[in-house]
Amino acid sequence: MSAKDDLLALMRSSVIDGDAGRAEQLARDGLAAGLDPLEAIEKGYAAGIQEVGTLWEQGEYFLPELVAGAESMKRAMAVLGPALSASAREAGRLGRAVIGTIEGDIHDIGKNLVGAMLQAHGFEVVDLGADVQVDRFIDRAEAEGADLICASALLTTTLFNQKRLVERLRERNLRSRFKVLVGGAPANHAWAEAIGADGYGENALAAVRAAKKLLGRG
Amino acid sequence: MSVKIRILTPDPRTIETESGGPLSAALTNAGIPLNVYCGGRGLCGRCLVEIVEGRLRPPEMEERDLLNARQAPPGVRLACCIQVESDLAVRLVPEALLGEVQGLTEGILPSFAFDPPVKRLPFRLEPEEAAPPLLERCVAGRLKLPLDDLWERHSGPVLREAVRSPGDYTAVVFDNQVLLDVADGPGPGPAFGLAVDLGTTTAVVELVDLDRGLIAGRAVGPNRQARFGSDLISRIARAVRDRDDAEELRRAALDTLSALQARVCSDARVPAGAIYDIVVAGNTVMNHLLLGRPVRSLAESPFEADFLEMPPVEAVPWGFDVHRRAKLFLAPNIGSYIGGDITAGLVATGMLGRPGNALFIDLGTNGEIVLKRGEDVTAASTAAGPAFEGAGLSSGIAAVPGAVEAASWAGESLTLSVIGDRPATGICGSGYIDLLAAFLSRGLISTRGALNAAGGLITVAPAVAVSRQDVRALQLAVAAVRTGVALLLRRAGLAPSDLDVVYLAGAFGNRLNAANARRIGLLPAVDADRLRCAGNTSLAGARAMLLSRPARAEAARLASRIEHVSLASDPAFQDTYIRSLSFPESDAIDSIG
Ligand code: B12
Ligand code: FES
Repeated sequence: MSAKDDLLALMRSSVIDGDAGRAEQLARDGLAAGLDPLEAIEKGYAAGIQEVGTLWEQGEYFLPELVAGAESMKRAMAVLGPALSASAREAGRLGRAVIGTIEGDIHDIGKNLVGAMLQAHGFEVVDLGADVQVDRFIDRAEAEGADLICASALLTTTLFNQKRLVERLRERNLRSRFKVLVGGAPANHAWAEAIGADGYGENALAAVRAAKKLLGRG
Repeated sequence: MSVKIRILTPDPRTIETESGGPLSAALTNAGIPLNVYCGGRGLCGRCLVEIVEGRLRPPEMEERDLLNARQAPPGVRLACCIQVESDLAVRLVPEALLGEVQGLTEGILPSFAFDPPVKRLPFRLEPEEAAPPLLERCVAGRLKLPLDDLWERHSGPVLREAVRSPGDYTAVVFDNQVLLDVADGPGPGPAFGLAVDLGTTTAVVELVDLDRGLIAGRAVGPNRQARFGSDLISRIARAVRDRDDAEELRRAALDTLSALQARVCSDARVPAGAIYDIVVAGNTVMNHLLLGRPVRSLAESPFEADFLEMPPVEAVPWGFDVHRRAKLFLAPNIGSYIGGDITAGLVATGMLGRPGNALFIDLGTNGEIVLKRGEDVTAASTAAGPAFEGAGLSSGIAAVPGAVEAASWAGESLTLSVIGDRPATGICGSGYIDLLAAFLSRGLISTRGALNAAGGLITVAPAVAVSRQDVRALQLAVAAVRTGVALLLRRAGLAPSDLDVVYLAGAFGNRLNAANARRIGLLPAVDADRLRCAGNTSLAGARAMLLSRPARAEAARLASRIEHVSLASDPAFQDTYIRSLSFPESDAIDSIG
């Protein structure tokens, strides 16, 4: 195995192990050694986060490992991103998402995780925080030129505000402008369909898959 | 001047006291368990004592009547009616000594005075007193009730309705304030009360003999609101969406309690009309739904309650089938998601009255935590979810017959203890705690919660198993509690080792293993001798409030003394929660706090 392969393998495992400090250091080492940042991302870190997803799906990993993996990815990207060529950046651009917890709800851990995983998989993510008024979601999505609105709800009562979000988009004649992705423990596929959302994800990985599919990248 | 009181029987001793005070106070101050049921007000005739030697004034008419009503032999007097002026020799009367008051000692209750708000007091009317104009003044004077507008509106009519002729009567008095009832002679029997634990999932109704402080029976059953959803928010959602549903929810709560009451009353052969007092300990949402109060504000940020506390009200207009003038009291709520059940729990542990640092964890669906640091008290709810009540787990059931309630290794196999000694049909909260600890100790699950077993399932009995998803759900619930504890401790600047005592309350059987709860991170890392499994403190506290006015006063004081902390606004929540999701490496260290 070449030194480059060794380095890529280390990058991969830094994400799998959730060692953010090591991930960042390896990114610097890689750039110093002349490694192509796009290759470091695709064959190193992104492969690592894929593996984290697989381990999650096998039941081996749980939320702490997911969070640590996403954080490692983020720290590496902070180093590698600026070094990407403009074309590589454009090619890697999956889309822009605004994400938030819906009006009336302060549960934000799941939302943060979905945001981090979307980012780790190459989306640009604008986090609006928790208890986000329905109209603010829409205003910000317009202002940011977003492709995707992601709304999280953890309470049976606030779930209904996801429905209002879709309704408001229609009322404001903006429904076709954005794809709407909903999630959170009390939501499910049937709910998403019933309220006329475009997609649903039962966990952070499913959220990434759904987002990619919606934007024609899956 | 100091005088000597020689006690001849049962245990001879001599006590010294200042002259001038009542004999009852001298005896109780010396630690003698004399039953001063009416608080030494000369109303109940229970504080009997035999005077063997000593100069005393003869009894007044009221004392004589009470002694006659008790058929006291000559020489026997009421200790609270005697002023000690010179040396005395007395014999204690066994029936006047308060034995263990079962209702106030069962569980972990601290020592509360036996002083029920509802009391039965005898009185006698001479011919000229039994009719107006003397009747009301006489009885009010004799029972020491104020002749105020409460008397005008409530006590007077009760009295006029009941008294037709001279003779002996028994009054039922509430809180030294108001007449609830008057019966001929000694009356039909003891007055009863209901102590109620109205939980989201399960309700308990206990019948309590208020004359003697005995537990006369207990019935447990599911909360009938369950058909509107298993958790509080689903029920609020229904109540908010539809007025009829709100009314149905109120009915369902009431039906739940009525059915349990009917069961316990018929078992004990006590008529509904003998029940004069109800104390309900429920969470804030249950309390709102039971009274039909609006719940919308409890469902959305910033989560505020429509009411926190209220004085005792009449029970019948609220739908209870009890004596027509019976009282209903709700243990005061502390904050939106910290309810009267927690107030009752704090009364039951008595922890706020003792020096030092203490932690109280109630492991219901909500997972409330109360921390006392010196004189400061903070509380938070952590929304753990109903996993420890068995909900949402593949083999989860409540602590009912057939539930695995405890487990431990015996060599290579698990020894299970099943409620009701029958084949296991499921696992309840205490069983899951033991199983998780057992699996961790043998590496069947990793500290990260990964399950190392074929098929992602560990079978513990035929058709009873712990699945990979079960472990994950339990991790989420444990982490919520662990995070709440860690954040409250951090705010108070305390480490787990600073805690003098930790109470774990909840509707577990009595089999909860505190060491195992600590092993999985549900309890903080403190020495085992500081951990107390406190059982159903909500019920114990409600019962204490039926049997002791001081306990009720304590509840009102407590609720206003506690600072309600919203964990939602704590920026450290997420990080702490995520780290808390992994089980502790060992039970001695908790890296989270
Ligand atoms: C942590 C927690 C809290 C914390 C929240 C802290 C925070 N900053 O978020 C605190 C303690 C503050 C809290 C408060 C409340 N909570 Co709370 N809380 C929980 C708890 C324990 C875990 C939630 C969580 O973070 N899970 C982990 C994350 C990672 O999972 P997740 O959110 O489901 O997200 C995943 C998926 O759903 C999905 N996803 C999420 N969002 C999105 C979005 C999109 C677009 C997509 C595609 C996917 C997706 O991907 C995520 C990652 O895999 C649950 C109970 C439980 N055991 O699950 C209750 C729970 C959610 N809370 C509940 C309640 C009722 C409350 C309160 C209203 C009352 C209370 N009991 O205190 C309050 C309200 C706030 C307040 N002012 O106090 C109830 C809701 C019941 C219901 N049917 O609505 C629950 C279920 C507990 C229960 N059964 O009683 N809570
Ligand atoms: S204590 Fe009641 S009469 Fe003495």
